[in-house]
Amino acid sequence: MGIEVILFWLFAAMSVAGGLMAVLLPRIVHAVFSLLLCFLGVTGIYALAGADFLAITQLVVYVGGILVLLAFGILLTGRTAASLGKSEVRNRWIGLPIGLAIFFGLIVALDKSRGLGGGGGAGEAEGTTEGLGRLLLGDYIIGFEFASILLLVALIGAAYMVRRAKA
Amino acid sequence: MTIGLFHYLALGAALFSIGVIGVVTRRNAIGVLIGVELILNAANVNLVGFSRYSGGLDAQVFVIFVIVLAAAEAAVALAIILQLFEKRSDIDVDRARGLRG
Repeated sequence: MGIEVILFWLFAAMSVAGGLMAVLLPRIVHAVFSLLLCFLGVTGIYALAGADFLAITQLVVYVGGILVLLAFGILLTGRTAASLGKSEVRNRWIGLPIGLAIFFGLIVALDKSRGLGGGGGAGEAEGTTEGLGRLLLGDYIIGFEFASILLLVALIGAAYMVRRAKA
Repeated sequence: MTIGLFHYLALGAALFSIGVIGVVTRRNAIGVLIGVELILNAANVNLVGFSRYSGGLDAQVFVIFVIVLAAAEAAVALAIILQLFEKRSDIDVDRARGLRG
């Protein structure tokens, strides 16, 4: 068993455990911090797969941006269902079977299609940043520009939406 | 035993199912948002696996687009949640039924 296998299972266990805790923990603050564990596990998976640029991006955007945004959201919406004496979780006995059914359905489908596709060997793990930059500003320039416009519009719209309504 | 594409796709499937459970079971709107983030991460894990085992970098470009979309989506969703909180002083998605501003 090589180091890669051990690391893969470690990071996979981290992300799945973090995800499960983020979904099942009753307090929403704990859920956000478990999501940190999950994102760190996914970052490890990216690094292990040789996607170094994506690993850094995942850290910067998800851990540095989205988690902080979620924490701000919790901060600004103080009264949650739990503090009103209600359970934070609904439909648990419907949601869990649905999730498990989707998971096992996907696993069966993946297992059946195991041999399909090229199954080309693993690429070398070398730096991907230069290649990604050439692709983004070459073949995918249209998508790149649209993504930047979308991000700009979404952020302006979000800032406009949260302003306090004039009394 | 070696790690193959199947392992990456299985991890993606697990994260996706967990995210669906979160979206279905959370009462708090921020909890639903957490579930959506998990689902987007599942898609990214799949794409990185494809990139690893096909040799090209195109899948990673799509991961970058997905991350951009996730950031935009989180910002807009939190803006909506804050407005909802201001109007109704809770963010229970079960009780947010009306569309009248």
